[in-house]
Amino acid sequence: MVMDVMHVTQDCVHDTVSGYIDDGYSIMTMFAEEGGTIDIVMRRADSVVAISYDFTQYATPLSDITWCSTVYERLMSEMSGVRFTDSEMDPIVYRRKGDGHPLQKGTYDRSTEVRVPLPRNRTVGNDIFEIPVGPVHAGIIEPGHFRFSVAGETVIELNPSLGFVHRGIERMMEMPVTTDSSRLVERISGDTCVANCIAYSEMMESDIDIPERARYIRTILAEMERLYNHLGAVTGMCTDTAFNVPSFAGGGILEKVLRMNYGLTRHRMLMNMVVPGGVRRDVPDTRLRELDDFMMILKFEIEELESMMDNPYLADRLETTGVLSERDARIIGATGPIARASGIASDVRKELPYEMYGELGLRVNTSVKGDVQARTWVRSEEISDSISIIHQCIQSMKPGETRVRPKISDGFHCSVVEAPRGELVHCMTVRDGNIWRYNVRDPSFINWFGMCHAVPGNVVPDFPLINKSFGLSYSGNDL
Amino acid sequence: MTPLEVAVELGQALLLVLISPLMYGLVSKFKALMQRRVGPSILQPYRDLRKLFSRNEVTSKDCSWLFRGIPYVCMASMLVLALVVPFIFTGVLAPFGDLVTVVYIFTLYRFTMVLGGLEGGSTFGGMGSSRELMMSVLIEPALLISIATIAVMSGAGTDMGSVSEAIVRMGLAAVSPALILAAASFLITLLAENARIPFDNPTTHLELTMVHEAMILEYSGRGLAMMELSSMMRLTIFMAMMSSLFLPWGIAYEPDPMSLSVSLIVTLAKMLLMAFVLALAESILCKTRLFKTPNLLTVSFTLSLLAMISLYIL
Repeated sequence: MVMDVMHVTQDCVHDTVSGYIDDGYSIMTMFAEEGGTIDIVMRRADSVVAISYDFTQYATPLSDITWCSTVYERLMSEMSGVRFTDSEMDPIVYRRKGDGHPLQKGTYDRSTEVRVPLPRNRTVGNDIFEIPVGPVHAGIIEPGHFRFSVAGETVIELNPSLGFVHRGIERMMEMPVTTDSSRLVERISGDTCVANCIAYSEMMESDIDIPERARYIRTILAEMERLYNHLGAVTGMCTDTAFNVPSFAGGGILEKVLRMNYGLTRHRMLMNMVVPGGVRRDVPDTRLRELDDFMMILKFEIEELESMMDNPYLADRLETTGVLSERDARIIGATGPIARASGIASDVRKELPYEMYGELGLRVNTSVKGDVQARTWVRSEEISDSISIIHQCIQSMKPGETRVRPKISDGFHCSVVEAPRGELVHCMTVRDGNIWRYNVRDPSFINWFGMCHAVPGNVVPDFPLINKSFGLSYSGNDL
Repeated sequence: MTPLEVAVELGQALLLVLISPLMYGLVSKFKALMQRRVGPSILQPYRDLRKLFSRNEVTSKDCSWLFRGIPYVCMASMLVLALVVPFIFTGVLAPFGDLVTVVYIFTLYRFTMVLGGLEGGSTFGGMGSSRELMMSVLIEPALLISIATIAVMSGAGTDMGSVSEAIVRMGLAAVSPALILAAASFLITLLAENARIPFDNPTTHLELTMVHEAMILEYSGRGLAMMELSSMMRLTIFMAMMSSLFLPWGIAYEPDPMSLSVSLIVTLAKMLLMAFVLALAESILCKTRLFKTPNLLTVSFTLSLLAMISLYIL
């Protein structure tokens, strides 16, 4: 959507933001533009506001109003070189220092970079041991370094250091708006390619309406993406607890879903389908009928999987493990299934409908427990909901066009999408037909803090389980 | 002891060593079938071992000669056990097959492996070692009492061969609450000792949850092959003990060809059954929380204690 930006002076930005926070708004993203401008995007249920201010030497710190802003402030100081006070801020993602900052305009020389080591954990004592893990892991997962402070087996403190897969996506996006960057956007996080691409395309289509059929296809693809991500996460719970029978049963279902994806889009991860202006190819009706039949079968298979997972041994592992309290989740601003499992009933599909979600019936599943089991439960409910949404879409689809020419005007654009991991925010400012600044706020970026709050108090062998239940993306966080 | 007996004895030890990778493969195969998978061939462990034996070793710069010596100690302790545990023939090297010795050779094996975990100098090895020791203090008494119950019941002293023979001679009279309780206790210790589900996950790649695997994480090539082979042998020896002490019917106590061949078939059938039971247990259970494993081991200990008590009061 094109957003009217509220321009304020630096003197009153603090009061403006604090007023909105008091009204129940929370910060979705904050980023700095070249030339001393900071944009703040906030949301409360279905209303989104964007605030922008120019600063001269120091930007205004907002951390006394909301904890959320501290992480964005650290990010801005690291990536764009914004200074808030005289003192240096800790780096948060990239953790490398060189001449200049990665998001500054002009060429950035990587040869001068040195890695800033993760500081020692704060917890020290005679019986406290520090366990370094990663960035290279034994399984096929993304790189991340974790430092645990443990007393015996109990974790006291956990600090992650990510940024190993920083590719400079935001900087690469700064191109004329006529360039189709959908291929690049899809690679922000490979398993969230549809959500990312929808967010990007929605902004690119700010001046036009895309055909209804294209919107239906996008909705189906977005739900297929949620389905396979959630199914993988639910199955992962069984794998990590060595509960092998449902683990392989889930793996089998997942494979069928991925093959269905291939049938629909000729790509198992649904890439190369969503483009600005619609979808790259129409999906033939025969394929859609096949998909509808498959959804019926899938419904029963998922029910069978759930009944297999309804097991006291498994429940014993999942219950009370890795609790993220509602209070913590709100302070951090957790999003997606993680927030819903902690009792925050927030879903972008319901609150800010995009594509066809406004016309479809969908539920918001919440649990109050906030433990690993609650997160698994929320995901498995959302699998059933996705099946129902896909069915509804196929039933109400009509033949028609699927692609039109995208058109975009200058100004500030923002789009919010419910990715499988939560609220995904893309923002950009367009000046003279060029993308001046592109900002991506992946849900994982915020949820990583949630995980670091949920782990302490649990034993070390439960960490992989908690980590898997948060199901976070490293590449989405690193950008 | 006649030369024939010695030959049979050596033959059964050799058989035990040779079939141990097969038993591992069988358990994996049964598990795969229960998960509706095809699974790797039952000969896969042999191929893995052949591959590992032909590879060079890479050792951490922080470790001493001890690290390289430990696989040999592990291997040797399991070979000794293969010689003294009755498998298809009870006439084992009699005075050496003392059950207390057997239990403490297992402890020796575990102790050296724990040292190996620490020697590697990695974080995970130390974590694995500490967890292994926590479990081992609870496994040991349960294991000792459950075997001792059988020894007391047989009234044939503490030599495994004679105990096994005495139980067979008792016939069906041996089937008593004591035997069943002790067998149940032994089964739990079998799972715990061999790092199976629910105590440990033998197939995981998550270093932070590992127990046994964490200790051998730093080994490679020949050292790893020996560590793997000795842990396969440990599983097979445990199964052989289960078969010859708790379910000994069919085992040969005279070295004549007839009873030996009957015993071979019966024993292999029992091993097959046990591989199936193990796979079944591993399929219906999932890994427990680390700090709940003592509960399970306490159950095992209680069962063995009950077995011992029932021997005197029933």
